Amino acid sequence: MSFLRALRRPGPAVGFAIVVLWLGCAAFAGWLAPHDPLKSQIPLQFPLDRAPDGGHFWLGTDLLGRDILSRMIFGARTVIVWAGLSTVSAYIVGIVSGLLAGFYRGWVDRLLSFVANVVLSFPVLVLYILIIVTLGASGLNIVLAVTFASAPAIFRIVRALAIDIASRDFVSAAITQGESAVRIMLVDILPNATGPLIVDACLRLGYTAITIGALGFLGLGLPPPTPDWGGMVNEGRGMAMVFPHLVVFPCIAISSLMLGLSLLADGLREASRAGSHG
Amino acid sequence: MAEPVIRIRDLTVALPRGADRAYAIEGVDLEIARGEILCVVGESGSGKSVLASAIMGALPRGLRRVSGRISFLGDDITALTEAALRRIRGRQIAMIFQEPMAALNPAIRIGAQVEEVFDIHAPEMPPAERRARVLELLGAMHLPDPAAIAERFPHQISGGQCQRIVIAMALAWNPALLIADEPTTALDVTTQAQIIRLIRELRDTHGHGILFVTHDFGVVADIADRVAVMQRGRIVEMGSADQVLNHPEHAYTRQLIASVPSLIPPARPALGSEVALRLEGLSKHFGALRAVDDVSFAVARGGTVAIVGESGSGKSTLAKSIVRLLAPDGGRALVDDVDFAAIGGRALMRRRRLVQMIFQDPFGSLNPNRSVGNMLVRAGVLGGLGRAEAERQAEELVALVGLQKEALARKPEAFSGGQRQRIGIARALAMRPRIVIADECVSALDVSIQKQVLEVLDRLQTRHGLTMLFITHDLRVAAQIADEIAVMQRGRVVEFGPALQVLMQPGDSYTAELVTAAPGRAWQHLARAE
Amino acid sequence: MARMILARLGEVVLVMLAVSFLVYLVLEHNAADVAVKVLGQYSTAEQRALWLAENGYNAPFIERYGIWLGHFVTGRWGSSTHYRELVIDLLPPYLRQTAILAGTSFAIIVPLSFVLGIAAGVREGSLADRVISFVSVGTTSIPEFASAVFLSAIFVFWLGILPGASTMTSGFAWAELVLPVMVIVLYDFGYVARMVRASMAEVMTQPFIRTALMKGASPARIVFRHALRNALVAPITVIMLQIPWLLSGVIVVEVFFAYKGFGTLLYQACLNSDVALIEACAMVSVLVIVSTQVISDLLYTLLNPRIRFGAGAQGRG
Repeated sequence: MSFLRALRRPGPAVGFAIVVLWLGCAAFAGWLAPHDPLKSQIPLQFPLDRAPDGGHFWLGTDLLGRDILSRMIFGARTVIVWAGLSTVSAYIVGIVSGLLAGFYRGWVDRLLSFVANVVLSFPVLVLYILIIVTLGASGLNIVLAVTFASAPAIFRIVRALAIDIASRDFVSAAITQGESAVRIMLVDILPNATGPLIVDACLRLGYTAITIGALGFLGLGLPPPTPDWGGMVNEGRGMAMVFPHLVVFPCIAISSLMLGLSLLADGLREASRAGSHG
Repeated sequence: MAEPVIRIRDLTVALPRGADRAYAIEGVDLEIARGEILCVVGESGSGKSVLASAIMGALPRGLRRVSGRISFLGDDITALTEAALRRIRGRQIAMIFQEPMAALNPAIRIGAQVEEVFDIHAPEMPPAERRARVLELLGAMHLPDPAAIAERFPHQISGGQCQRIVIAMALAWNPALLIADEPTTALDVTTQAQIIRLIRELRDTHGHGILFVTHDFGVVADIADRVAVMQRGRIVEMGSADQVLNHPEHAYTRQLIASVPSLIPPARPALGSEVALRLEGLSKHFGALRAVDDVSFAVARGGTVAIVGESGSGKSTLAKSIVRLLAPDGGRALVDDVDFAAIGGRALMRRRRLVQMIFQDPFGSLNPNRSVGNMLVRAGVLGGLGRAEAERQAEELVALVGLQKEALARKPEAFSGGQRQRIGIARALAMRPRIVIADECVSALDVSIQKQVLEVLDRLQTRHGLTMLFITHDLRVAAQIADEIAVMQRGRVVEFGPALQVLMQPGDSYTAELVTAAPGRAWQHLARAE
Repeated sequence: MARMILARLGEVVLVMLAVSFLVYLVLEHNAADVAVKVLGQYSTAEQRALWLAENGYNAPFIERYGIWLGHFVTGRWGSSTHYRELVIDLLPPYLRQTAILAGTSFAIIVPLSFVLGIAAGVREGSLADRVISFVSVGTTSIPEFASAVFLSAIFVFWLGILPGASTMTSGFAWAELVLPVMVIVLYDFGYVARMVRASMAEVMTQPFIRTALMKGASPARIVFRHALRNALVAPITVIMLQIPWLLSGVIVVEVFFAYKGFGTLLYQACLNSDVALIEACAMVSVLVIVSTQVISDLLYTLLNPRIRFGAGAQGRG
């Protein structure tokens, strides 16, 4: 399987490890975090300072006295859940529309491509600002905005893949056998497109996480007190001169997640390329 | 005896780890004299292309020369530096490849690309003289209006013209050795004949030594002075053309020669009068282009009609129109009183099983993600069978095309090209069609595999009464399998008749041209006459 | 060719119309909401009703849209509730600032990523390739707000050689441009470099490169005369499509460094629910993006000889 082959090289293996680490944090946050991320204790403690309950604030505390390490671990859950949901939702929309456009072509393709072009004309943050101004900020609205912003790009990728795969003889064979369009799209086209799509999914998950982080940084993201890496940077920015740990650690968190996903995606892409030359 | 232009001793090139054998070529010894054409012939994987690339130090990444000496005009070139090799390339040794249009830079005008050969090896030559020599060269290649062609880009001229330009670049400095790696394989048969004639003519005038790599024994017969046969990296037989072609000693050579289809059709049983497919005035246009223009003929039940033509003849478009991958613009295609050209929607879906197709590319015609059994059972179900029946049929079909029952559980990646084509045949038969259209289904196969697949088709026909429409560009294949032949040119059927008649006494001038251009014609006639 | 350009421009107009409709729909379909945003939360119901009547909000939606569109294309972009200025007077200086920021960044990104991409792609798998690829992956993983934090920490707090904010209150200062440009360049060059690399690596495997090699061409000639010309077509066009990315990222960078550009304007508009300003900013950013797409298509057509000079005889004969 190309996935296992990808992991043989150091880059993708490291990437995979990082991603698994953050996924673990997200899943087992309750057990891993030393403190309650929402509980205010002693404000502006430095890393390794002692906590009232006898433990440590391993990464210090923020302006409101909340343990940074715990907020980072729970923040992983926030980012991964919302970025994950948004990406999945965008993929569903993008895959369905891309398959339809790539298989049927004609007016279906022209219409869907036009809609995609319209949406793709908006910078992502502008799109989000439009939504938040009307609907307000919440997790669900983030999912909506990101879906809206990402689906057209996925649509284009799936469409291009579908057109390419549909030109192959086994799809022609299915057509000559009288196979229904839905079955052709689901059995013949989609399974053969998963390779590039998985690579894209890894990267897109990362970009979405970054977008959510950026929104949090701008104060337009999930409302407080939800632990959110971008929001943490925003909150701590003013005091960063004296208390750099307020901002540096969340930045490392999000950069490492993106790096892990990029390395993994690269490895998968290389592995599938090598595999197809056989 | 004069010093050979090139002498290769014990050349061995290793393949990267994980390949199916250790060496691409092993222990190769050969020589080429001045003015001599040596053909290296073999099937895919024989190492003939690696041999060609190794001489000029142009091995692809991952392959490395392990041992051997190559001596060119007396000097050992295996020990040369890259810079020294560059001085020889293009000037004393030249190489041409298979894909003519891809071999030219799409972004640079043709004249400039040919001039580059002079620019590289004689930068002090004045531009006017360079230009003059380029035009002279293009003229020597029999290209019409060299000045106009020099201003064009590669995509604006035909494949055959591209290949002439590539040859012009290669022979600009009158190299002592020309290495040609399958230079005519991607060309139409009439163009191929012209290029072969051109190469022979240039050799006659200038005395180049030529290493000509090919897979087609017919081409070998037309051009070779000496022949080397390669199998799995080794030369298994070498000798003069007459020796190897007419008195082959090695079993593999004999097997290959026996697989080459002959232009003389074998005797075929008489056909009944029942008609399986009747075409009446079938047409398909793409804008102003008449891809299929008023085609009419009939295919008898149990018989095979071969449709022969070069690229652009419309034969593939005709096939796709009949099987309804494209919708015809006019005319009728009658299968069992059902006009396939006219029906649509649900009626078409119901009738699809009547006409099925076998496709050309063994590696693109099967869904990599589905097992063979899954494909065949689904085809059976779509054809109206119940699931259990379809599964039984799948087993029968697999045996019918000569594969093991275990094949049903496996995915296409486990099979070779020839086996995949057999699976394609099984799939086409799974719906129990009235007529099967084979669209160049052996064109992508090695000649020995081609013979096996043709035998499968022949057996299906004689024992099971399969009716077939066989599309091919190779007249020799058509000769072997067809009862009747239709020759297409620019969308029209220019000739139609019994195979023997069309081949031996062609009525149309174009058909005659095709017959004359068929590679190895003279050789096969003589050989068979013995 | 001319027909293609005309068709493309027609498409652009259609897209802009659709966009304008979307923008207006999202922001102003609910007239009552608009009144609240313009007059403030503490306005009374009568004040709002009066304002709505005066400003034509009692008309049906389509009519309102039509009037708004008419105003928009004639330059009547309304008035900003937060800045208390006509939007059309407000925008240009901010746009200019962002153009300077984006332009400077672009001027560095393009040559930098081209050089790195070519160096990496010429010999796929070489040490240079692996190092460049690794650096590219690394830098594109650091989001702009994070790199802004890191770079500020280094250059402002630790080394103290650059100013922490870029408000440019005392006129234009190059020193204040350095950090914002650095952040943008750092984030974007990796992606472009990898694209150039991929294109270059793909071209180097093409048959015509082998032909040039067999003619005796030196590596330099192969790269500069043959490969580049074909390898750069795709990246040049895709680089134009980086601008949408920049427009998103520039918002974060401007807010971080308090740079008075278009991004800050949009951000303030959002925080203050400044409807007219948001509409104008959204439309302007979309116009920029659509224009870059058109230029990108045009460049691709001009650079690709197959499209520019059309096909003549074809086939294998």
